[in-house]
Amino acid sequence: MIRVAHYLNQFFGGLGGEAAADLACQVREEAIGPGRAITQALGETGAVVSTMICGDNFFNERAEESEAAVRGWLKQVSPDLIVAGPAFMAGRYGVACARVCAIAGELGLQAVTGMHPENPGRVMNAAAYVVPTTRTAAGMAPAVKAIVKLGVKLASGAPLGPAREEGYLPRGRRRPWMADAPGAERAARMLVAKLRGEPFESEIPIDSYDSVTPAPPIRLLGDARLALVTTGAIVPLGNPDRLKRCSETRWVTYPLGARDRLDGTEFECVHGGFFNVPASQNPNLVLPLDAVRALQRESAFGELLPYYLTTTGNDMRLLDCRRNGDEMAATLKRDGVDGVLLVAT
Amino acid sequence: MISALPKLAMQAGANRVVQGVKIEHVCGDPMLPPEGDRRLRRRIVETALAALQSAVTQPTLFEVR
Amino acid sequence: MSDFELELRSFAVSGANFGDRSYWHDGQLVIDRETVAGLVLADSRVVRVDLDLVNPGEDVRIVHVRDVIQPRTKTAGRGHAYPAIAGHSPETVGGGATDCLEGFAVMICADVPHQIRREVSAAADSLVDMTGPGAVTVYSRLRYLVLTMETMPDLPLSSWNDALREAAHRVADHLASTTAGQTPTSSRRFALPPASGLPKLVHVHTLNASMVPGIGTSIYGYARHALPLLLHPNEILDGAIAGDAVVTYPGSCTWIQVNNPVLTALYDRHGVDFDWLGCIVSRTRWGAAVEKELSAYQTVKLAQMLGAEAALVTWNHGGNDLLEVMLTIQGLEKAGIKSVFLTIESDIKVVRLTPELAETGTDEPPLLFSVPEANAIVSTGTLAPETALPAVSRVVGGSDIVFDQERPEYRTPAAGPLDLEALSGAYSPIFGHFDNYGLGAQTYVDF
Repeated sequence: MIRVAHYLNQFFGGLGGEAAADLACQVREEAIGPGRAITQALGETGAVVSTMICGDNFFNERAEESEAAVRGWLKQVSPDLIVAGPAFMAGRYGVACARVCAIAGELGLQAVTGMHPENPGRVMNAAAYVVPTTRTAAGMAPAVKAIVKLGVKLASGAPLGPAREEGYLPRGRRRPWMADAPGAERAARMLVAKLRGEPFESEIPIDSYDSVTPAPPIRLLGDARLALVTTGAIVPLGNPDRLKRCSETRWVTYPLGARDRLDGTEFECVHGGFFNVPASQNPNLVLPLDAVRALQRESAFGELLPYYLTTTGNDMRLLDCRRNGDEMAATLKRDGVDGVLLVAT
Repeated sequence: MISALPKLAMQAGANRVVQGVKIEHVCGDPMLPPEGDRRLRRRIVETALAALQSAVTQPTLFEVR
Repeated sequence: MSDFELELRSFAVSGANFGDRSYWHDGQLVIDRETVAGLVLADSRVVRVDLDLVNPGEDVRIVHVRDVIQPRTKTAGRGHAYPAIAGHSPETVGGGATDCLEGFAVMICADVPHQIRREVSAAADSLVDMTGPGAVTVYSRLRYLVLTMETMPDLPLSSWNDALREAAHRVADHLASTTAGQTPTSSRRFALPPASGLPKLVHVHTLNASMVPGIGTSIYGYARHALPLLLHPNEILDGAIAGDAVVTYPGSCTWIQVNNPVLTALYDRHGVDFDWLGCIVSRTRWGAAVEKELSAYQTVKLAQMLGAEAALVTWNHGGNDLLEVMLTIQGLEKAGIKSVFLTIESDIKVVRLTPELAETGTDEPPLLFSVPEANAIVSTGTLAPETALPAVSRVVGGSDIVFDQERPEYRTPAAGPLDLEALSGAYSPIFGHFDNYGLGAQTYVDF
């Protein structure tokens, strides 16, 4: 018997609409609202044994409390499966469902949720198993059916197949696979299907990239310490640290000294992804030290970090990009930098 | 960020993006006479400094005048 | 017969040997070493050549691979196969009859001179294993006459490229001539008669242009960035698109351009599912955003002027070339031209297909850039060995490999076992490790 713990927001929990969005988490030892449909769909296989209802605002604004409440609830119920939502297009609800799935994962429990592919909740937890739903609760019945089907398989511990076979949204994890025909064939076939208005399945989902919270603006640039960073692989002539032209993993720093410009007799550009001769002849074209110094002399800003940071932004693996970015940021913060001119190539 | 390909930079999440010239010479133009190249570079850096002082809520392109 | 009706006559090569004179008979290709060596050395820029025959399945590792050329020759119709390069006529090709040696190719191997390694980081050392875990590409399944060439020292980049390429084409022309007057193993007629009532389709065949002057993939010998042009697919079958001997990027190889499976997949369906109008060939890797946009706009415009309703879009490189490709797809879709994009997973860097990759996958995004309109994509995944490469009993093309272009003094013996991940890092040195045009069924799926 699959014992299911079900997470709902205040609306689907029957406690009210927006006015009830501040309600604290509460637990009921029964199926509620959509949970009843879930129990029905499970039939002999299982049932919803416990439901947590949490106001969308409460969950998002009182994050520590609500997460502790969810954790406590799950530990107490010890379910075979957690179902969150479905949230359809409700953004705060989707975010909450994604977090619930993440907490479940941390506790080693299987979880499944459902929401519209454009629900912002998806970016909160890329690893969650999310069943696609319609925008509104008009699609509750197929959503419940799909959630139960996937949930049962998750609870059984059987390995899951690819997203498009098992009916969940891509989780940003790709694995090598064999298709049923060579790529050229599949491309021609897909185009014919598209022309005829027949269904087809794209083999690469369109990416949604992480958004980065913007740093606040610099209030007093005249007092600010700035730094120069480039992925354009500007290095001292001779490339003493052997910075690679492609597929580099590290980042390096070099002193600027009292220089008021970079010279091709002292520096060069070793980036392998573009024609690097102009930048080797005049490195200021990639690391604009001459213009920066001129503005510094005019007191347009306070200080310039006495060294610059560089790497080769050419075929760098994402995990290296992330780590390098974190490390560079930590170094710049440590050295009191307020703003960075990052020249990308 | 100063980039010759702002669409790419903004899609990757860069919030303050200044339009550079070309991938090979983002901060200037070696085809111009040296004074013209330097003036262009100065305008690019000035735009970057203005961007640092601007409040933004999402990826924003700052064009060089 | 119209100018663009082509009979492609294939002469299968099931075995190749050296002999007193060059001829093809009943699947056997015999090669006269003296004549071939003479052809290569006729250009004094080439100071030495070694000739080797290599067969699929042999315990051989070929290194320093620069390009692979399938011998093709025109026996009827205008022009010369591989037009406008190696001294061939620039006359428009694509009609008449063309003979080709099937399953066989001339391979250029050459060690990269130091100054060229510095000038062009993409002039890297690559390898082909003819058996074992490293035999993951189509190049492991062909039969080769390998020309290992050494040039005069200090040749400028374009001269080094030309010396190698021209020598290989002289040899390929000579070998292609062995089919004269004989009956092919198989033949196929390629033509695009109007197919009224069927939706009109264009193949948007984007091609990288080199950022380094004087080298790169060329169209009728023209390698520089230029606005898009229209090619008949038969022109491509006759070698109008050719690679160079410098860059080892998989999509630049001359062999894959004439053996592009997209052309045959579209020909199979012309007159059945759609009316194929031709190939719009646009260059990629422009340096400025406005140039990328211009190329995309002009490509879309050509498609519109042709009346296209559908487009199959391909590319042959990686990196920032994807911007203009995606902008083109965006423009096509906005113009109401339904598009499918056939692509490698260019940004999932795989040098070895590890068990982790197979079981839990990677979270590297497959493409560095996309547009919302790119909603119909076919992926050709990646090609990589599952284990380290074993030692081999014979090495052709050189004796050692440079894995780090920044440290060309460190040369790894080619015959020994090679842990490519440890040696090469994030970029595979296996020649042809990207299946740009979908020859195989390998792909990636989301888990």
